[in-house]
Amino acid sequence: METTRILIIDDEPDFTALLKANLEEVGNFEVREINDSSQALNAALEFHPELCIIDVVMPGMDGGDVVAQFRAEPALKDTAILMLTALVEENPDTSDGETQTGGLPFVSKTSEFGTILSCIEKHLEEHRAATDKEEPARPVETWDLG
Amino acid sequence: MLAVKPDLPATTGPRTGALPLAAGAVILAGTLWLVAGDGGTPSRVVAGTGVLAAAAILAGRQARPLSNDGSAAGRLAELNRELEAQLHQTTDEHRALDHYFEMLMANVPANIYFKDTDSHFLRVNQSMAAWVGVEHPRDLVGKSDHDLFGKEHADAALADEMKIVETGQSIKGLVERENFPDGKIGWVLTNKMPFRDREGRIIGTFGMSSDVSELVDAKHDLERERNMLRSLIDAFPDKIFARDLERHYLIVNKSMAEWVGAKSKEEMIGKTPGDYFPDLVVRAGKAEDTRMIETGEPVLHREWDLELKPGDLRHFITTKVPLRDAGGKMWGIVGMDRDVTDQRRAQEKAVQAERRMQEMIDNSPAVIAMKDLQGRFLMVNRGFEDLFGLDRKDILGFTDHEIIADKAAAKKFREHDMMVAERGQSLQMDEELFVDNVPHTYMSVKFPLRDLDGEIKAVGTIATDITDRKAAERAIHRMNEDLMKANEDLKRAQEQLIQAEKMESVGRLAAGVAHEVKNPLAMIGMGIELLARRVPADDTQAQDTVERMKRGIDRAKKIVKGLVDYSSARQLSMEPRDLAEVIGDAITLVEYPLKEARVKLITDLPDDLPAVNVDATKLEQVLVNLMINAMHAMPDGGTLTVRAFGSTLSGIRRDEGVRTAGHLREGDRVVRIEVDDTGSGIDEAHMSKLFDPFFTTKATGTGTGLGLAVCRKIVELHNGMLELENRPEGGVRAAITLKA
Repeated sequence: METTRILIIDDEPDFTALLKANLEEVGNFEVREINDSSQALNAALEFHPELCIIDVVMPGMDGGDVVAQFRAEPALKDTAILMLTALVEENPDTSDGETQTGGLPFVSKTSEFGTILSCIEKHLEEHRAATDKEEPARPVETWDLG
Repeated sequence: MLAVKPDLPATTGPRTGALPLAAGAVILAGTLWLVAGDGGTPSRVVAGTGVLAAAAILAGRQARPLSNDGSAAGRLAELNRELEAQLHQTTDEHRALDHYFEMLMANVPANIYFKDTDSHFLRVNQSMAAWVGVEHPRDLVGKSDHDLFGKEHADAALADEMKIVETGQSIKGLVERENFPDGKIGWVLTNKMPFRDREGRIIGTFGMSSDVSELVDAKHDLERERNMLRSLIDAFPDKIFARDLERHYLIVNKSMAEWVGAKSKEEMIGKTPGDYFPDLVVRAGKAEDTRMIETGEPVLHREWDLELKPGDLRHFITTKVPLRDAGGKMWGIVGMDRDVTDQRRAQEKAVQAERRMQEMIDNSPAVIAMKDLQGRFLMVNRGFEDLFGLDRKDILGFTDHEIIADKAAAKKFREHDMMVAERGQSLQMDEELFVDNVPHTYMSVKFPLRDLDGEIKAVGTIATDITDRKAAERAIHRMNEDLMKANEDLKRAQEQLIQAEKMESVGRLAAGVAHEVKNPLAMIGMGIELLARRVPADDTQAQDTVERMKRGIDRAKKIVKGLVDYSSARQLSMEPRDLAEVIGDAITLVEYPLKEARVKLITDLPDDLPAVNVDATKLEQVLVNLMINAMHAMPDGGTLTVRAFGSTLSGIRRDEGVRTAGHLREGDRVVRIEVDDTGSGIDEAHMSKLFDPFFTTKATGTGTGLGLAVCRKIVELHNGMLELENRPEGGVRAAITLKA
């Protein structure tokens, strides 16, 4: 079974290291962590991840900037993205606690690892299905957390 | 001054004829009159002249030769008869003369004596004998003055008499002070003359002396009186003068002389006013004198001004009266000028001072009055007249009771006056008086007025209308109360503002803290996840440890979630909703835990509640929170009542902490949701902190202390109110008020 490449972009090395360890331990993932958001684009272009896990609040470029950069890059515009941030809580209205805002899935960073994992798997599946149908990319929307 | 000049000739022997007798009688009578009479000076002069004339006649007679013409025997016989007849006649005449002389000697109340050249008495009269205290004039014959009087007097008399004998010169009209034989001291008038025989030889002296003590004393009295009068008029500050009809000064006093600048009083005698006064004054005075002479009318108290010294205008009052002789004929004018400048100035000053005082009193807005001890008005000012609408003539002499309609006030005024009179001290008080049926307040000062002896004779009152001031005081008092209330409101508002500001700050802080705390929480969570997989299944202690750590993370996450709720509850998606439905949804969420906690649920939700604009999800969150809180307040079970009803808002206190335009206002239509429990209620000490973030009474780990803060935040975002209060019957009521 082919490993799935996941790129984590977060300024917190301790967190990324632990997430990477957990992911690689429980699933067939190849995880790369980027703690400097300005390196995110190059890393993604080089690494070709299937899914990017992006933090929102980061020094310099924040998560939104990174997403916009990716969306502007044809090679990356269809890459699945999961926003993992401490800004949101688990959504009680969804089974996996995910919140859809501005066309992006937001998952609370403090969710249990299992919850995060299931969200990752869900989006990988969705992405694979979409890629198969060659769905056009959704337009970039600005989002606001009020 | 005695005008006695009886140049008595020597009466040396008998004389014939009636003329000498008559002359003798005149001399005698005149002398007697002079000695004893009490007439004035002119009549004395007349008497003296008579005596003189009679003496002259006697002297003439003496020089006349006797008639001596007979020739024959018959003629001789005839002559003899004639002679005899003549002798008889002469003898008769002589005898008559002797009789006159004897009568004179015996009865004249003056001492008459004759002495020889050695000053021994030849003969004295009865009066003289009586005077020196011998029975008969005979007893003195041959005696001298040294036998009768003291040596001093006797020597002096002897010397006088020797001189007369030597020179033939009379001593006339000598007035001497003498010790009388009876011991009294008096004045004696003495005339001593040479006693000559028929041939004219001096054979002694004779004299006559009489007691003129009364006369001399009277004269002295007169002189004293005159001197006294003179010093009196000189002592007078008034200018006194007497003038004849030609205006010559006859008498002036010292003051008069000094006034006109004369060197002395004497200088002025004989001068006229023209010598001292300005023309104008002289002319006016002369005209006035002329009128007086014509009419005989006196001038009384004529006032006039005179500027004798330049710049020194003086004011005078003049009185002039006519001087008349015994016959009533006017012969002069006596007058008096009085300088009244100082009195006049003092008077003017006094008048002016009184006028000023009256003006001040009258123009004072105060009510001023003075009453005697019987309460009768002695003085009032215009303010008093105006107050009672009476003229002072209708006030003075009357009492308070007679002029004040308000009997109670009049009684009080009188009592206060009497209090002042009795205590002798001033009194200050507020007095009430109805003026035109409007109550007025006067600030009155009453004080005793004393006479020169210090006796209280009147009571003065000065009253000021302080009605306006009183009203102002009351207004200020009210204003002060309002201000204090406003101040309290402001303070409360400020507290609310501070509280609101605190909430805002806490909210902003919470959001930041939440994010920063969640990151390490996430990391720890990840770490525990990783480690948990490495714990052997049989190591139960390690398994438990992992679970405990997870619970700790959950707790921290919950707190952070509350903070985020609190800080992120800033936007609501509002839509009109039926509150009964929203409440119903919320109840569904707590029905099970309530049942578990043995809490009975009662709902009172009418169907006709008005639709309310709400964020249903957030409001549900609030309601659930309130119901769970209520449930926790009843650990041993109880009853939870949820009701809702429409009403109109009243009696709310404006909450300055609410800064939204849509906040609730008095009279708004509202829907009220009440959640009542039957628990133990809220400690009063905790009331003010209920909505503070992190305030909790629950055991650590049981509550986050954010529930109510978030609830209130949500309700306030709805422009509503969330209130908690202890119910009188026990338990707590949480009430949400929302604008309908």
